[in-house]
Amino acid sequence: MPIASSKISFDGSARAAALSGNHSAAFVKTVDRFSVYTFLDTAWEAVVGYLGQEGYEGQATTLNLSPWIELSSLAPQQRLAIERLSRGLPYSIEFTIKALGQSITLQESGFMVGVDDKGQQKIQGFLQNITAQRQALEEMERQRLFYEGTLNKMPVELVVLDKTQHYIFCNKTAIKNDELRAWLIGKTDLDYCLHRGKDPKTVALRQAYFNQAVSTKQEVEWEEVQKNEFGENDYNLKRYSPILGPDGEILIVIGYGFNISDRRRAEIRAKEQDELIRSLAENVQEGIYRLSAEGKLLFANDAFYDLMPELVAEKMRKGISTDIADRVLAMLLDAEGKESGQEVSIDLQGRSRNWLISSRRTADGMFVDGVVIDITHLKEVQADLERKNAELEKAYMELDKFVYSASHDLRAPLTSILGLVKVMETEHEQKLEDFTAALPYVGMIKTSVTRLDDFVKEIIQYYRNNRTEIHHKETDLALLTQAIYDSLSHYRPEVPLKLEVVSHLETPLTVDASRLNIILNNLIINSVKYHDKPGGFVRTTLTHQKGHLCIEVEDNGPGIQAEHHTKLFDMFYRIGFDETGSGLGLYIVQETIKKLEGTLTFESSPRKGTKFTVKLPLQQV
Amino acid sequence: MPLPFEKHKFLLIDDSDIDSIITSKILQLSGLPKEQITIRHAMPALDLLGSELEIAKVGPLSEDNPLIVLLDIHMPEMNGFTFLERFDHLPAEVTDCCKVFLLTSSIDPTDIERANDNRYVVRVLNKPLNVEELLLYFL
Repeated sequence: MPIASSKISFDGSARAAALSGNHSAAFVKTVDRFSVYTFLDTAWEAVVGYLGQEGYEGQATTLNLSPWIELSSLAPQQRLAIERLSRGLPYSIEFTIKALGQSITLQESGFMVGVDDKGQQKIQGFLQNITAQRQALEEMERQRLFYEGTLNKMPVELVVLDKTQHYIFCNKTAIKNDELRAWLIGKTDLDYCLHRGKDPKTVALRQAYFNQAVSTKQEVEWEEVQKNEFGENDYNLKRYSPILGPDGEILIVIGYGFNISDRRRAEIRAKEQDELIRSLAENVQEGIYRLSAEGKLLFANDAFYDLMPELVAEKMRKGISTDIADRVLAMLLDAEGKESGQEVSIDLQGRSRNWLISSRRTADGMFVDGVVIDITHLKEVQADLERKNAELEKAYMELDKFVYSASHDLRAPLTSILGLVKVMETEHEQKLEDFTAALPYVGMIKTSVTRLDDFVKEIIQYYRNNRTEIHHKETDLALLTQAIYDSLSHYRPEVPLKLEVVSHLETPLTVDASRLNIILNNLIINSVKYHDKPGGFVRTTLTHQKGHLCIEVEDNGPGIQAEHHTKLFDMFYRIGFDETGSGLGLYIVQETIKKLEGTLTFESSPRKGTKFTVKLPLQQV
Repeated sequence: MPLPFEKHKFLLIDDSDIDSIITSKILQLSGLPKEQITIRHAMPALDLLGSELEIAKVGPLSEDNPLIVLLDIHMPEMNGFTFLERFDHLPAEVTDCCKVFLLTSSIDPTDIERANDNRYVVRVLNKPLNVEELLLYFL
């Protein structure tokens, strides 16, 4: 009976049957080769009727029952069903229809019973309302998601094992990687270990604990230490908790893992810290203590007690007050916060001790932490040093005095001899006496005496440069130079020289005048003493440039042969033509300039002349 | 050579006889000074300068016609510096007419500095006396 164009009506009883729970109805339907229904029996009519249609017109296929059926889920099932029908196999389709605010899930199972001459397929089967079963399944799924979601979100590693230690479940905290987590189900720790290339030692240990839990049916707890990716130790508190069935048989074993690394590391750090403090307190030679804000002794190391007389220390350790202990504590409290510590002296049963106390109040103001050092010996050494220093200073002063008076006493007779020689020469020159025969000897006496006198002077200059502190004084260097020239004006009458001072200095400079006198005097004397050109010049140029004083002493004398250049400033070095020199002059000049942190250079060409250049840093005023 | 010292008068204060002789001789040979007094100790020299009668014997003195004092530093009893301290107490008429030179063989820098700091000391000269150097202060 074709229905394609007929109006189908439904009675109430069929609708009721379709809606009733667990309804199952046999059906027969016919479809053409385009899957268009050509016949629907009452069971199907009930379904279609349920859809609330007054009538159903036109060509109907299951697909056409949209929008009441969720087609997206149906289409692949339908294709599979058609394919199975074509091969003569039974099929099954599930679909949900929505109407009147309700969802009903139906299962259609059927098989082809024959094809008529028009090619229409006759299908026989069952329609079953499986709404309740579906809802039960969905509820189960919801519950699964609820429990799994909850377990996965737990901050504790949680696994469920069967009694042979195969994984049934593993939460996300235990293994983050979804793939790996899925892989683990049905596997063992050993599988995991091999899979991940980890140390199987841990596995053996876990196995032992697992076996213990299973055999005793008791919870087992232990701590597992593993190296993490940064090479630090990770600490995990592990627990196997067997879940027993009604007959006391093991159903599953739940494994927990608590990461207690932070706590353990903090404990280890605290322990190390304690150890450090204990070690410091034991090994440090100074007395270390902590006082309460009121001055009660809360802590002290052995070195601290060692500072006290034995009996006092013994009582102090026990917190028993004694006269000395009270005095000491009062002193410690008094020294609190003193910048660079406080030196105290204390009489400990007749023994006088010197202590250096250095302490500070803690940031919260609750305690005073400090150190006591026994500086009694140090004090004695210091006093001894001070005394020795004073003695040395006195000795040096006496030595200075001795050197200068000795030099005076050495020079006095020399100057007398020189005076006498001079008188003889003058008297001879003025034809007052005839010393012709003696004159060469007189000349020799003069040379020797001059030489000895120069030597004495130079030794004193050398001694003075080493011994005297730098003493700055405002000085007119042009005047100083002129005074040196003046003293040399008739030094060598046989070689008259132009002695020039070229000063670019605008004001007197603050310099070590006596050292500058030594420098200028020696350089100028050298130029004058060895000059070989009557009418020649000696020129001293004074310049002030960039915080430096520059002194040039230049002459057009004989110059210095290159072979002497490197040794010129050596002690006792003399150039051949220098018969009277001591070889100290330039050495002293150099040493003096060194003392003033300056530099000395020279240029010289044989037969043309020499120029010495001195550069001295000027004192910042 | 001009004889500029002809008009000057000299007072030598030196405990060493030999040095006194040498200095006088050098002065004489360089052009005889008009008056030359040699005293072996500082104290009598001060007495002389402090006594109008004695000073008068030396002759009329003025700033242009001064008494040139050549004073040794190291002397027994009273040294050159003590002399200068006492000298300071003499009347200005006397001190103004004196030009004091220290003539010494000392090269102790403390001596020389101390001497240069003294307002009466014109110059420290080294023994033996170099007349040409002395001359520079009178040209």
